[in-house]
Amino acid sequence: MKNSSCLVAAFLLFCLPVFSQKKELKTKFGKISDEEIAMQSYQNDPAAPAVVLFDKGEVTHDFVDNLGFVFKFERHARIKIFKKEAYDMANVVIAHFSWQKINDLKAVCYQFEGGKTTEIKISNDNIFTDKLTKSRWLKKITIPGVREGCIIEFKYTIVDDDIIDIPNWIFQKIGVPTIWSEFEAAVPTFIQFQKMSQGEGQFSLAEEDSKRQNLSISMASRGGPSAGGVQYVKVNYEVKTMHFIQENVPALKPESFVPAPKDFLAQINFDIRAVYRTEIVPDGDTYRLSNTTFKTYNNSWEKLGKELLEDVYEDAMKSGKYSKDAVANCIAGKTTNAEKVAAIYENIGQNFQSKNLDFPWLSQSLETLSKDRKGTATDLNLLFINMLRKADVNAWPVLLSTRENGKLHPTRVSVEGFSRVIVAVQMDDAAPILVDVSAFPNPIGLLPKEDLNGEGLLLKSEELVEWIPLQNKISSRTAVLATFNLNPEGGMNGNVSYSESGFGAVSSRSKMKEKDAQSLVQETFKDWLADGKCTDLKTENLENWQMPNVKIDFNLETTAAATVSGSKIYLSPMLGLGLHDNPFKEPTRHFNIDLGAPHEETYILNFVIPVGFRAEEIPKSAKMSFGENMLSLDYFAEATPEKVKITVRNKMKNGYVIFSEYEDLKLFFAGITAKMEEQIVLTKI
Amino acid sequence: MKSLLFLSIFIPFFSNSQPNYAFSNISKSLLENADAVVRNYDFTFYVENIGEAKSVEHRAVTLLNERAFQQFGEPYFYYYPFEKIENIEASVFDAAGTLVRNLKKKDIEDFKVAQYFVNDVRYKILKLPGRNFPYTIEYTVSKKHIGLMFYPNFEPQESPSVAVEHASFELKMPPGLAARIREINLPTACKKSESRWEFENIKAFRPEPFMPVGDLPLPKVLVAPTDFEFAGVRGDMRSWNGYGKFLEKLNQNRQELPPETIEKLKKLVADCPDDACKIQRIYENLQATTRYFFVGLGIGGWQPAPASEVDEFKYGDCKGLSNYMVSMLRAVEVEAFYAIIQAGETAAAAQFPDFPNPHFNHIIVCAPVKNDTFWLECTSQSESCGFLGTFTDNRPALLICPGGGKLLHTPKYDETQNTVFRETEISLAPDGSATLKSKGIFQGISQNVVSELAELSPEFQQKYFYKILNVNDFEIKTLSFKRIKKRLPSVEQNLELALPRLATVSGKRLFLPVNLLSEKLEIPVVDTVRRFSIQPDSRGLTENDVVKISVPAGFQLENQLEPTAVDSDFGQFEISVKFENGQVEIHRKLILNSKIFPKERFADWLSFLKIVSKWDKTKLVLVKKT
Repeated sequence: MKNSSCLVAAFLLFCLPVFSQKKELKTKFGKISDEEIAMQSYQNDPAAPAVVLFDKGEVTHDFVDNLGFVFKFERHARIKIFKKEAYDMANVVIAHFSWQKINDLKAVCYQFEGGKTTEIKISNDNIFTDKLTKSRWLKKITIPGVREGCIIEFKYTIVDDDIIDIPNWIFQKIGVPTIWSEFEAAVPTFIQFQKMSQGEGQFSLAEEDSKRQNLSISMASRGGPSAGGVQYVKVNYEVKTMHFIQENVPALKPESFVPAPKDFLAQINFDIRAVYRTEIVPDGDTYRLSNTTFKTYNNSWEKLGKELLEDVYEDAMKSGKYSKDAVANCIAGKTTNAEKVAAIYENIGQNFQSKNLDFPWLSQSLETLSKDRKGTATDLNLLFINMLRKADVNAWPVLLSTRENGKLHPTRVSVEGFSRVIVAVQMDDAAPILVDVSAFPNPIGLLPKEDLNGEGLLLKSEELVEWIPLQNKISSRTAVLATFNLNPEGGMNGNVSYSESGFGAVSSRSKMKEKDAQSLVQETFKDWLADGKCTDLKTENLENWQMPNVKIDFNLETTAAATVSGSKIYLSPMLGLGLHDNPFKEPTRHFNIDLGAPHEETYILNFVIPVGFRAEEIPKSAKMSFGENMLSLDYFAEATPEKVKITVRNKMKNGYVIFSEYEDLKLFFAGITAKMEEQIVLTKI
Repeated sequence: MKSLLFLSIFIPFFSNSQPNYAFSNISKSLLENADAVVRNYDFTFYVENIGEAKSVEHRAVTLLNERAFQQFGEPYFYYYPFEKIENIEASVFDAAGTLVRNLKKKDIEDFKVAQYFVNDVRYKILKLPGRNFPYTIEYTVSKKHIGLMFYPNFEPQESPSVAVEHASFELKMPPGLAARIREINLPTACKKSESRWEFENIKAFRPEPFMPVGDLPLPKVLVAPTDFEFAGVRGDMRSWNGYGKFLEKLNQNRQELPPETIEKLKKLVADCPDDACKIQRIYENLQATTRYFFVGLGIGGWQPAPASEVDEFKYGDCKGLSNYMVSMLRAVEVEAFYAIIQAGETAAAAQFPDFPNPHFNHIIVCAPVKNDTFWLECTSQSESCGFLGTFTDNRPALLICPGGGKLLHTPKYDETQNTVFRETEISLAPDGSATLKSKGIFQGISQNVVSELAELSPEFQQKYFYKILNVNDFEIKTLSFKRIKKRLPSVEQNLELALPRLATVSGKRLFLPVNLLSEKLEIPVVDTVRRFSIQPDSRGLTENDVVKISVPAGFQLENQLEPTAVDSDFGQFEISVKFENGQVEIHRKLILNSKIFPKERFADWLSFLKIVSKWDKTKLVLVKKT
């Protein structure tokens, strides 16, 4: 027994150096090492559901006679699957342009059972093509046969003989560690680009060099006896080479308050700035390529926006087939733009379901959409524009990236960078306002939180494209105003006025719809009502989605806020109001914190002291702030012989905090929550 | 001929009816608490012979909101070799009851169940357009059943949030074959004859907090066969013994192990003094060498893989692993039985011991040892030998014994076994900061969460604690778990925290919570009269805390906290706070039992809860004496 396990160990050791000393990955497609088969988990992250054994990309721009320079991107990856959570790794997506060729596509799943390896290859049934726009396509491959313990491997080459490119390379994966990620590129110097790298990954190799190499080109011979014949000449040119390797890259692990973790992946991005025209010039006995005039290369978000407008949106917005009657019914009797917009917004909001999916393109035709009544936010918003235009209201698409999709990085232009189309509507007065019909029943002017992500690209026409800020007109506020009479037994009663505007109003309405206003109050003032009751409930605007706010007034009687002990009454004035649970408890932080949309809370609470008592101790007034008043808390307490008044104002303006300030942010929130716990002490006179 | 006749019976039944699904026709009382209203639900089960049947399900449901959509919006129908879908028709109606659209072929999508596992159960899902609530979907699905172990149970009201306008169930049996029936929670208004049940106006309701677990009063007609045939095997379901005999036939000749394996196992237990020791060794061997993988092709959904295969491939599903375990135990001369059970945390009362039926979903192993029967969960790689968690505790299990089936009850773990003992020391500074050291012993069902945590990475353990600890500002200095695997397993948890502001400082006073680490009980919001009976805890638990707080010099306890001791039918609550020699000592004990009390006792239960909750919210007031 013992001997044989020693043998196995020795055998494994012998197999270990898959990666040789020279920082070179030696692997052939289909040649799985015994070490890879035996692997049960990844030692640096034993809980990981899978590990990328290697992922290698190589870019070349080789000269092919009669074609010119041909761009080639070759990718080869192998992944070990440990757990079900990682089965998605078997779905491989290749983004490419319609004119590009995908060559040498191979994808295999290897299953190992009882010392036997079974190979399961893909068939045509496992490959789908999604056409995002006329030119931007996705090839989707589903590798079959995935199970725990298997290895999947795939390889493909993208070939383009028309347009040169340098694709971005991502070394890291979300939730899955990577043992070896390698990127190599050779780029002729007539392509000028900028390179940027980001992320936590350490390069175990980062080499950049240039070399000269020769191409061979056929030239019609100039005169002479063999006129009309072909002559080959060698032309010398310069190539910039790059070689990057990251090893043992940890999985990117999402943290709370990071809407788009993929923004933080370790990666290298290339931004092509200019491409030179070249000519062949004699160089001594031979020839060389020489740069002449150049064309700036502008792969920009604006250009992509125009392309989408032209390829995709124009037709949808113009199409006259589907919505004519609906529009006529909707706007019957409506005269102003505001009335028409509200009517069409409500019509789509109530009749269509918004899918929890985002693409910047149409996921279906408007014809299917109007039948199925179910679509992405983009589908619904394009239908919205279509209907608005039929009602003679000017409206334009606005392209944006939702918070979940991440920031629009200037050099990472790709069609997946955008994720949604919303609408800019010309209202009766000058300024257009932004509307996202998928957010119904938000009042008009209240974009959903996921839309509030920097700037959006307004597409008025192919000539007129501009960036506009994505901000809400309606602010989100919570306010509670109350006056209570305390009695010597620790009970109190009084009148409470509670209002919510913006997001709070929308969520109050939806909670109300589920149950009733009474339950809504019971949930919001849970701690007060644990030992109390509310009566005389009056509500305002709880039914009307168009109003920015809701208001609830009621009488409250409770014994939950105060306890009596001897000659003292201890009173918790906030009792569950305000922030009581610090959202930042973990000691460390890797990523920047996105706190979400602006919000403001105000609490004004008066407590009338019972006869025969005085306030012995009240909380200290305090002002706290974080990051130039990005977050602030004003806590004001004052006592007169008759009453104690607590005023709390908690504001959040714009919530984006850099991770290095995490410790301070955590302390700030701990400070707020501690302040909410402070007590009033009343003493018998 | 027979099937033609069948069609001519049913089709006119639907096409003649003139449904009016207008939303406005629904009576107001049915809309209360409802997410959906079943307008009509007719289900017919037509048994043709001992092994074959046809069924027609016709249902029209008005969906009122998004939650209804989750439940009914896209109906799905399972099928597999023993149950085939013959026809599906469906339509959508708008709020006014006008037909919007009929189902088209492309609206039906087809999926495999648990697609990464090997099995042949598939389902068809109807992608019916709509979201303009309220709207109505109507569908008719006809199925052919080949192999009749299962007769359907009829449940007109699937869940509390569904109201029912009209529902009917019709059971047709061929001459000479009888079905067995059990009626559960039938409303008095149910019109019934020998083979037909009709329901009208069943109202939706809201489940209440502290309801007995898994005991929703939903009406059901349970139906099970007498004589039946499944996969060519005949059985008799009149008794558990009979059903057990049938399963024994399915399991026949699947227990053989290769001689080498038997030899190995015998060596493994060679020095064991008794059966308990053998069971322990064999179980640990199973945990170390196999893993769970579901396989269910054809009859394989009910038949375990042969033990020799599991022995070779080292994986199996609950059937395969349990059968393998039984085989291994028998190989070392320990008696053990394959036991089928209805698993699930809230499914303890889902089976009916006096109504033999085939509705089970899991297999475990029972090894009767004198005065100490072992129950073994064979799909877990880390469970303590002989302990069952909330997945299979306290419920009937059918043992497949030679010669027939035998119903046995799995162990119940109560408040004397599900315990937490915790000692906590807190050292408090004048600025309100503190350090905390706590050692907790969790036992029985109370160790479920911590025993799972113990198997995870320290990183995950800490993340979890940062999330669940109800303290606002703290740093975990130490967090460790030690599993003590016994018949009644326990976990020791050690925790050390730094708390920069445990106490709130107000002038010369420090306020700090009496209850820091114990579970806090929520008082339910009560706005209507109690409808259902009360269960304090689904399993019963005891929580014992001793907290010692060393108070900074010069501080004294200001508020007088009189000790409380409540001994009620629901359990016990005792707490005392003592201040001596600069130290506050808190003793807290909470016992909740799992007894079921009538709804009339709700006010008593609430007042018990309020006493506990008031204490949980109480703060110690320490004041600096000058």
